Amino acid sequence: MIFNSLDFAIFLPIVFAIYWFFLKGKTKSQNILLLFASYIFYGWWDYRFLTLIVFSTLVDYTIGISLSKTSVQSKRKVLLWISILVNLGFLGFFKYYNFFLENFVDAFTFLGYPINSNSLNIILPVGISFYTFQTLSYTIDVYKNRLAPCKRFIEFAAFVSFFPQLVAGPIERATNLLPQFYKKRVFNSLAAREGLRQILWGLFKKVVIADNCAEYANIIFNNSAEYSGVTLFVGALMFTFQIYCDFSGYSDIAIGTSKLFGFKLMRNFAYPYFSRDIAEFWRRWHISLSTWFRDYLYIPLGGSRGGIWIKIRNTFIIFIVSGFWHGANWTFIVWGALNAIYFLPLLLTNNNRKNLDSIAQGKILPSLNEFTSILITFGFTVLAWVFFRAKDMSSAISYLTNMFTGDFSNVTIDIPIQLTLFILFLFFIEWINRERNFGISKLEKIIPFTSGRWVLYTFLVLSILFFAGEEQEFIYFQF
Amino acid sequence: MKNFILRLFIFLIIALVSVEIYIRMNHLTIDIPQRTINDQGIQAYKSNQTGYWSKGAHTWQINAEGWPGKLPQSMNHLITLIGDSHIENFMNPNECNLGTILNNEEMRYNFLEVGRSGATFIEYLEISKYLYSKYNPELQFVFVKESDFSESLLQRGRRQDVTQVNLKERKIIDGELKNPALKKFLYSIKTLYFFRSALDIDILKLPFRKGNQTKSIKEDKVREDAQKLLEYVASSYDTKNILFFLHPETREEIVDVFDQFNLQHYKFNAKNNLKWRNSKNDVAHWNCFGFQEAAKQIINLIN
Repeated sequence: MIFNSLDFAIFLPIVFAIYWFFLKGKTKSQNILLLFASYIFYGWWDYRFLTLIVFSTLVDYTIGISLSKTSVQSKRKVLLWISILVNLGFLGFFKYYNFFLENFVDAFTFLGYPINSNSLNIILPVGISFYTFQTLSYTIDVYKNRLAPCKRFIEFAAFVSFFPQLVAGPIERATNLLPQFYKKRVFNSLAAREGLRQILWGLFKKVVIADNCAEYANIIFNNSAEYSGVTLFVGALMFTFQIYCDFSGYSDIAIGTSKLFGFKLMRNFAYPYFSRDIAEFWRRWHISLSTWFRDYLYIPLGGSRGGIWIKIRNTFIIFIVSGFWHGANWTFIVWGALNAIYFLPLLLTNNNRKNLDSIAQGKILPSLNEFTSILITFGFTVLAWVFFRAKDMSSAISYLTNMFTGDFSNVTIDIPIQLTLFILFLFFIEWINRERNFGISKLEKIIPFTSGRWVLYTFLVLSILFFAGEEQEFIYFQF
Repeated sequence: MKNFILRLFIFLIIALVSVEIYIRMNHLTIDIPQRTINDQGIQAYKSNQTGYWSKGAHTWQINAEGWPGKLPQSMNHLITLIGDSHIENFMNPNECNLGTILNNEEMRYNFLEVGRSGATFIEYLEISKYLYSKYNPELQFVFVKESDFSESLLQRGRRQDVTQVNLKERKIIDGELKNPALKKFLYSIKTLYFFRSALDIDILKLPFRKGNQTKSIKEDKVREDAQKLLEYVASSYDTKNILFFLHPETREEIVDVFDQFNLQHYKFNAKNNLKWRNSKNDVAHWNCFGFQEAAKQIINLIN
């Protein structure tokens, strides 16, 4: 089931009504409902996927319990490795099997030892990368004694499969989300209103901007040889807006939906395109994944401590793994490596934590210096997205080559003026509200009159209904 | 909670009203003409109506006689053009209507379009009888698609709003206006109709159905139905001044049935059927090009 569908529009109010009207105050029953609803939500794609998530849940639940029963370090380590191998084994098989096989065959062929192999027709279960990382964080945290193991299966299963964030995050830490399943949840009108606002904003970003931009990004990327250099630049820009609005829109809907049920998920995006350098960009983009890699990979590897070579090694590892997490394609690996290259100079000159404060704090506009930094960072990001979007490496290189060598005098595709205005509107609203959680968060502070706010909400509703692009699946579902 | 639900409810009402206003201002849905049944049981539209096609692309008109399009200058040397939504042709501007094209191109005759969404094959014949008594036309052209046969037969299921024939009793069963008040109400709420179209939900059996949705009867059954129906038509109607124009995608075995009962017919010749179609999947309706090509063939035939 996808968020921008009629199915979900019917599903959500039903679950909400049962949750608050019939099961109010009954935490255990609410958890059972959430689990049941989550399995329906996930099984809507393909009920066979459920076996995988149930198995993964059973394994990690059992390992969590077993970890609590033993203090022998070697045994605990074995248990941890079982969890890691099972989870990454599934991920590796479903997501990376064909990639490794093809590259293995190519490598042997290149060395003069051609081998025959048959790739498998594997369907990638939706959201496997997300829930795998979520359950892994649980086992690692229990192993490291940061978290007491969950002894209640329903709560644990509901945590693993919590439908708002199951298929595309935010990738929640067990330490944040799991305890919320134990607590009694009381309906909070303010939080629910904020949740609805966030859903509305997320839908606007996804349906109006991302889906419309996708149309042009797809045309230009799929026929890049036919377009002028400046048009290719427009295509890259369209994808830059698409991926941001698609993914952050999904996150907004997920976080907003959770608020309706009394849950608080972590923030996943913090206006990344207003970043003044790449380090800041990575603190603002897909925060739940970046911090996951930071906590469970970068820091255990030694982080930025140690010599210069250790720093360089760790930076490349984390960015390349992050790229590879997105998909089994060299383009993602290069995208990760490119970001590592962008990031390294900042790290090596100790400038990676220079921009921790809010952009243009207390001012209406950024300074010229800040504005230039934002533009440069944005430009680097746009170039990197070309690798992310291209179907293979040769397409990416040819796209970039044509982008800089092709005709720069005219754009050979018509981008509707409405779309341009919607994009400007989005960034205008996000700029105004950049010190809050999302574009129209706590709107009372900016528009004190209810009628004024409702005009804005109505405008968003009308835009969603009448300016929606052709329905596209959320990009991050494929990861 | 009460406060939250109340605010949400009020907002939803405001949003719905805004949506309705927006849809009306931009004519995003098709305006649907009201129908009536005359004293001879013929279902037509209420006269002198006009409305917008989807997205305000153009307007449609119902003339003083209750049929779509403009009336010819006179009813002398008249040829009638009878069909369903295909001839009604609301989806194209009036200048693309077959009657308009023929009236402009072939001056020796006057052409009267008589089209109504959802009309069945047997209804075409009933209409032709009625038109004959009213205008005494020189010729009557009936436009036929394969899907028209089965829906004419009561044995295939009663459709309350269209005329059908009970072949066992050899009796015509006139259509009735189905829930006119409810339809009027539903069609007047444009938001409902808009979402019905956008989400492809069948709130009522609406007149503007997609061409491929009527194709639920299997192809071998269509031939069987055509056989039974045309046998009844040949024996029950005076068809000597009727010429049946068959859709270019009509199968030869159906054409053979027309031959079998000596019914005069002409199958349109379209080298590239897709070019005639109003949209890729819409077998039943043509675009301007399709009507212009059809008109050329009709004029050649008349000459």
